Amino acid sequence: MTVRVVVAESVVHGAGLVLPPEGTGPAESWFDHRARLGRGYKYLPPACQYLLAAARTALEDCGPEADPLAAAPELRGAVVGTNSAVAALHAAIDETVRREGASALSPMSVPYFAVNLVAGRLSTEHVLKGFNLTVTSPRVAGVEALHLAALELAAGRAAVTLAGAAEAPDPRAADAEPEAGAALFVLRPGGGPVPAGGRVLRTVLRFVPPPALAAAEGRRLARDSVRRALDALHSGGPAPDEVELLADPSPVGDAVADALRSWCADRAPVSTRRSGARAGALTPVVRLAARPLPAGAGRRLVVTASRAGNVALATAHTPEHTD
Amino acid sequence: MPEQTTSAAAVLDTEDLRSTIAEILDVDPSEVTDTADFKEDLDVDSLLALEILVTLERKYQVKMEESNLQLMRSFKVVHDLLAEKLAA
Repeated sequence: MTVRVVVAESVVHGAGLVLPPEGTGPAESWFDHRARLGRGYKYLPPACQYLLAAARTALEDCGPEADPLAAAPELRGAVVGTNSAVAALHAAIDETVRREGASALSPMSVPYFAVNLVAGRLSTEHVLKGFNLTVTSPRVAGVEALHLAALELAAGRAAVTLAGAAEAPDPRAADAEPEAGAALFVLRPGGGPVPAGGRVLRTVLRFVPPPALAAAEGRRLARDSVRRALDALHSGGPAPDEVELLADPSPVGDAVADALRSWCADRAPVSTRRSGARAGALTPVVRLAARPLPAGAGRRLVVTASRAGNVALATAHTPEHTD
Repeated sequence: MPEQTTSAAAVLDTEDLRSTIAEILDVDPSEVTDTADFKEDLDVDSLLALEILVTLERKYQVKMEESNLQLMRSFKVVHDLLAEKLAA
């Protein structure tokens, strides 16, 4: 049986990146919530603060003539991907309960033990009443958020959606690269006009069952699955000019890397970045937001995979003729 | 007893308490005047009032009943309430 490949497409009308300055250590303070957001944000987990700051930037990026918040609240949605947005809070809660008991927990902070409150706060802030989703699949959650947002837009459940990823360093990240910051897009349905400075996102999600990779047949099926996704993603368009793989050192990461390099052999070189299993979901979204994109409507392909079997593939490009 | 009152006053530094409350409320200490109304002037809702209560309990090692929340309307009230607890 061949599983249908679903390609989701959306148009980026605004983007917001909130990232630490280059070289900032995971324990270093770099974000002033009071300066960036004002009063009333002190008790939010840092990832939530980053997300709200990124949202403000993304909305401003749309320009005053195309205010995304002009859409009816019921037609505004949010989808956020994260792996470790509240991991530090969980650790702090554990520590406080162990040392002093539950009565010593901060009443203002403790509600955020529920990771979906990070995106929930985004919706509250901007009155996004259409839908609010949080996805937490390892490593791929950010691209997964973009994919789900595009599907919701295509289904008419929203006219505009804020989608992206937010992370704060996981205190138990082990060999994973700690991530901090947020990357958020203002998305509108695919096929619509692309504003100046905008871009088109196309995404595909796959799942490679890790146990299947123990057998040759399983590895063949995994390779075929990734290749079909790549074909679908580039259907009717040119080959990518830039290819980036972000995966963990796992059999799934290896299988996806093999399939990607094979598919790209006569198309484009593959830049590979490996990080541990608890890596965040932010970097793939940052790479899709990064400027400049390849010139002449060229495409940047970002592929990400985790040991759990989740695989997400995405392209970003700017059509040559934009409105 | 006078000795206890003196001891409590030594423990409870007024300006330190003001700074602590200002930090909890995320405002400048100068905004936490003796009589500023927490709810009307400093936007303190019930959850933030609970945050004040829990923080003071931890810092000063006292037990404050939740019924005290209703009384905590200004810095002066909190100060007097805390001084009373420390003196008890």
